[in-house]
Amino acid sequence: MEYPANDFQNKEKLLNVLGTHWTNTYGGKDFVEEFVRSRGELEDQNHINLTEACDLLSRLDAPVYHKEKWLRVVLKESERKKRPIKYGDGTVYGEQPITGQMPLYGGSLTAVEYVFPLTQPLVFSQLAQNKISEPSLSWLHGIDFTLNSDSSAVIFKTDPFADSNLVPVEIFDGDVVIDREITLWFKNADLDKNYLYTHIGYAVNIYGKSSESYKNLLNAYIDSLVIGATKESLEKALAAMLGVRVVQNDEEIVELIDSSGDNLVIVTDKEAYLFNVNDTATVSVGDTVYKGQLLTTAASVHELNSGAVPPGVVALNIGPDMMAGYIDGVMFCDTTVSTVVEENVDGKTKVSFDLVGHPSDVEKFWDDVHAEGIRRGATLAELLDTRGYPPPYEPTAATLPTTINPLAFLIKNILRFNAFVVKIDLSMKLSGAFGINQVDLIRRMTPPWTALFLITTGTQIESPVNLTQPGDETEAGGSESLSTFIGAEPVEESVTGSDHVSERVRLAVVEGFCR
Amino acid sequence: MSDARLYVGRTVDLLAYQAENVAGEQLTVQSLHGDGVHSGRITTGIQKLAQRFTLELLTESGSIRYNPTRGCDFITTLRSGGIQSQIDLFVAFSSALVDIKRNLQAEELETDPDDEKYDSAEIINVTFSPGQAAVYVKINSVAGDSRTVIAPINTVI
Amino acid sequence: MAIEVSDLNTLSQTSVDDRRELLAQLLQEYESRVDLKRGVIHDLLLELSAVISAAHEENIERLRLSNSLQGIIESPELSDPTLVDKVLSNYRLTRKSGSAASGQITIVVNRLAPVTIETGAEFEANAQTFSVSSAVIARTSTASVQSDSDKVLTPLGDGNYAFTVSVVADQIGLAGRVKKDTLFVPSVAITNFVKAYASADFVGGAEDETNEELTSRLEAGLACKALSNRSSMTALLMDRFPYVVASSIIGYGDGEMLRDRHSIFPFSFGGRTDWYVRTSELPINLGISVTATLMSKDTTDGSGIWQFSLPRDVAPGFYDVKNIRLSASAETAGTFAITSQIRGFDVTPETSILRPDIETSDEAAFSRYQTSVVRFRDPLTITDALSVGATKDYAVTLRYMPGIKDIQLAMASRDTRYNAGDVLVKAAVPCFMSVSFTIEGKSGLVLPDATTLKSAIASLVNNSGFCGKIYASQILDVIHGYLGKGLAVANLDMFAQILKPNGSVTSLRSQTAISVPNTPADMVTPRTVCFVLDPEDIAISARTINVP
Repeated sequence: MEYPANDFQNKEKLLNVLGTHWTNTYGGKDFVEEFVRSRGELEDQNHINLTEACDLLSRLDAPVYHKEKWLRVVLKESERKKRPIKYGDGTVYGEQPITGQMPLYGGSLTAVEYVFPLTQPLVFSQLAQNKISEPSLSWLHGIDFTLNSDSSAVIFKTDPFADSNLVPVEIFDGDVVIDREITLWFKNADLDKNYLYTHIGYAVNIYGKSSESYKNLLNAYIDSLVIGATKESLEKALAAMLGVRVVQNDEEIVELIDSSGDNLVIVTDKEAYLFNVNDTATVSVGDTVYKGQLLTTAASVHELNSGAVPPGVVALNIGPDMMAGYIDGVMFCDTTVSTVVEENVDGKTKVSFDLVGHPSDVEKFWDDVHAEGIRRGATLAELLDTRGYPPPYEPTAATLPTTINPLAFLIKNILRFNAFVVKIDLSMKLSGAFGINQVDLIRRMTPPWTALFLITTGTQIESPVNLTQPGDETEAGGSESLSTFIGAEPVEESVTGSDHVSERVRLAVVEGFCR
Repeated sequence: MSDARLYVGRTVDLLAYQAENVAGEQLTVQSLHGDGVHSGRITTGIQKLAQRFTLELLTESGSIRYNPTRGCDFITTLRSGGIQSQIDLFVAFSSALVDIKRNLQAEELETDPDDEKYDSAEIINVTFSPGQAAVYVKINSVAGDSRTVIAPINTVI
Repeated sequence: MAIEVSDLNTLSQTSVDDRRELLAQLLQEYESRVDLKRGVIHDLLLELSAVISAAHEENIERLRLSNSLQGIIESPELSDPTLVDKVLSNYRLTRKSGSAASGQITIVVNRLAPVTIETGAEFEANAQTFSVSSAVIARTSTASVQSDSDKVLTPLGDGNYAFTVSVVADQIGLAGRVKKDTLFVPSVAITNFVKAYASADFVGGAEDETNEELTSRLEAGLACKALSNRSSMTALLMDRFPYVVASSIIGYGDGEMLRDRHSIFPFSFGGRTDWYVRTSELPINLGISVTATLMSKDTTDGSGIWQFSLPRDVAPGFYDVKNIRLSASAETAGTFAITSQIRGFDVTPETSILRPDIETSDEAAFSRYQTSVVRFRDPLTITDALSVGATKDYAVTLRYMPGIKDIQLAMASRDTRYNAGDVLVKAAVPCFMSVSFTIEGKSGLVLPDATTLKSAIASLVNNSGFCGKIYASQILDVIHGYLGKGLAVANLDMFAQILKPNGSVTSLRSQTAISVPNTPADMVTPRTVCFVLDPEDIAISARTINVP
């Protein structure tokens, strides 16, 4: 941003409005100038506030956070907490490598961080200083301090009260000093005032923690309200759930794909897009990409109208919500199985093939298909007959396909009309992603006569055990040596008489509905 | 006359109570622009402390809307007719001193010069005459008796 | 206007402090020679600047909050209806004004002689005053009719005659919704007057829309009005039929959707939408006259089994037959016993209207395509001299949600639907509730007004949408709002009956919560069922007890 961005930041301009006496003639104009400049700072903050209020009129321009140019944070010594050591702090068993400290049983290790509560909803600030203009102390976020907005705390690597650049002010109760305070100034502080929820999310009854992803999700959802159900708004919502962005402009050309850093970066002629470093781009350098397009495999939408099995989809489950009277439904897998032909079942040839599911569900499924086929005058065997429909005589094994791909059969004959598949790889979520905890939003965004099969994948945590070799103290193996541990003598307590024994069973129903 | 060099290293405030001399008893002029001779003067040191004390003493507690703890109840008591005798006056003043001390010390820093730090105050004389009372107050800084009186200077800040 | 320039005495202390400290810090750093402790500069520059700047901040904050719906509604300073209305106009929403209930009164006279009812003539019922909306002259015969406003006296068969007049409640609000058969008292003398009663449930009658009710329609205001997704469909419905109370859309992948399973495979193919709609807080009691046919005779007592049909356009999507009486009966309570009710469906095509894919009567239940054949026993008409096949007129009261046919036709018309847009509109599956409780308290304490209390409880239940569960604690919460000190509630009991689309009834009872069972194969789930509580079905008793 250009400086000065407005007249409040321009002390000469502020002075000018006071007339030539104060700007040119008056000998002591230094103080006047500094007062005017300081006063301008106050009004500059109001200017920011006003700009935010105006931007909040638009869901597209709404700021995620409130910005304070200089946020005053007062730390009280009485509120200082030493954070206990946690996993990942670098503490080792025995003597500590840096401090040489040897923890004793019952004692505690020196805390590495100092935690102070915040009264303001401070989310981020790059810099904390002891003074505004010429600080003798500047602490950097991530290095000298961190902010925990969830617990409303600022965490320092060193004790601020031990720093000579910060002069504590003593708090008196009568003549007695009861506390000490230090003031720090956080530069360009982001404060979470729930702008997005109170101004936008409230209207559509979607709550979320303030973030760019939340804003993107709200905009995607409201797009689907205002325009109606579109592929673009759905894909924007999916992207927001993963914390990534879809293509922003009507047309962009991919110029760079790089995953050498902390993120996978896809740069186009107009924008740069960040993804999880393990994500896989679905575009190549030179490709033209279009507004709303997803650029990686982290989220993908597959329409089934061609009848083909989408890449990477290995099975689909048809659950009880799509088949009344079934326990879990049946699963159609992307594999080749043999057809089973039974002749003269209720006077008609019955055909079936392998499905995954509870045996009673699978059996019921094929019984229902056959019975309904008879009732409606066209059995599945007749429809599958290689001689065409209607077959000249009752089908036999010789006139029916010998193998079938259940998933391909399902998609080609049933799902291709009104269903589509969405795949989300949750392990590719970026920090700040909205997540899929409100995935029922998609239900509200899509036409009710269509169905969405949501396939989520995540990181598989592997803990392999090599069974070909024996285990040791740290690794499990094919055989383990056992040692015994002499436990305490159990306390015996006898209960006699059935009056003292009872059994209680409690049933709990856990369910929920998407509306 | 004061020497401007004595102001070096000290912070200054505008003088609200103008006086001809810094020593001796005299009536001050309550004016920022003074009497035309002593206009736009600044002050520091023990006189600045005296001014701070005076402002606290003469500000009614709660009357600064967003600094409600500043001031004391001395003037309030006086205006309400609660001071009928010398003893009343001593009682009201002693009570006010508690608030004044708390307020003045709360804003002082360790790095402030000792003669600008408040220590105590006491009434040294009270005279009553029809329609008015005169209270003579002695203000002690942390510096005790060893202080340099820096007179106001006509300057600009 | 609720946004006002801040009073300098009501600023936020924190805001002033922050501004003062920031200014002091800046001044101190820019000009270290200035003393910013208590003094002239502090008081006249710092303090004043901080206060003025904080005032600006406050005004800007109010401006911002005035554009935040949550801010407006939850901030006492801003919850001004005018301001709310202005902001909601951005969402294309207009507050619904309250309306007065209206309906028809049947006036019974004992002589065949002309009767004149002037415009503005007043009748009273349920402590409400109703005025005749246009003058009526009841004539003795069709031949004597002289204008469109004239009515003909209808003989009731018992020596009395009846005619109807239209009335409107003098006050807006729900209190004017009197039920069918409620007796009215005229405030002026009517020639040969016997009695006056409500011909059918009165309709309309609503309070001014509250901020909460208005904001519940926010999403519908934003959304395009089209058969697109659930949100935009709801917006379309609310836009075209603003009286709709709640709706729930069932589609592909929902267990309750049976109409997309019309193939040899037992699972859904999609492409169908069932739209459960609640168009009124309470079902309307509609009185109709039917001609029944004698189907069989009981020689033991001379009674007969009679049958009449209800085609699809008579009370479309009706729930049940509430009572059957002789046409000439003066009774306003009781009914002949229904011996059977067979529901069917009629999908006779209509011009430009997509005929929905319906294969069973269960699928058509509570939709405008539902039909029914009702049989009942009439013990009062001796059939000895009648032959099977004889006919007789009866007065029948049906319970139904109004507007189901209108909504169906609107959603299936070519200017609304998409191609192959198979949308079937159904009245919400009803769960008829009754509630009883006891108010206990010391002797001499004033009990709350029962009518008001019942109305508040019913309003809670009838506006709960498709919630799936009504808790006793919700009802208790309402009751407690009406109880004075020293009064308490005991023995709250809830009873409910779900009338399933297949015609069967499931009964539920609880002292803690009534939960809708999840039986999608029956189309009975929290997404299809609405709770219905008539204030008349709330029983309140009082007991004197020494409440601690």
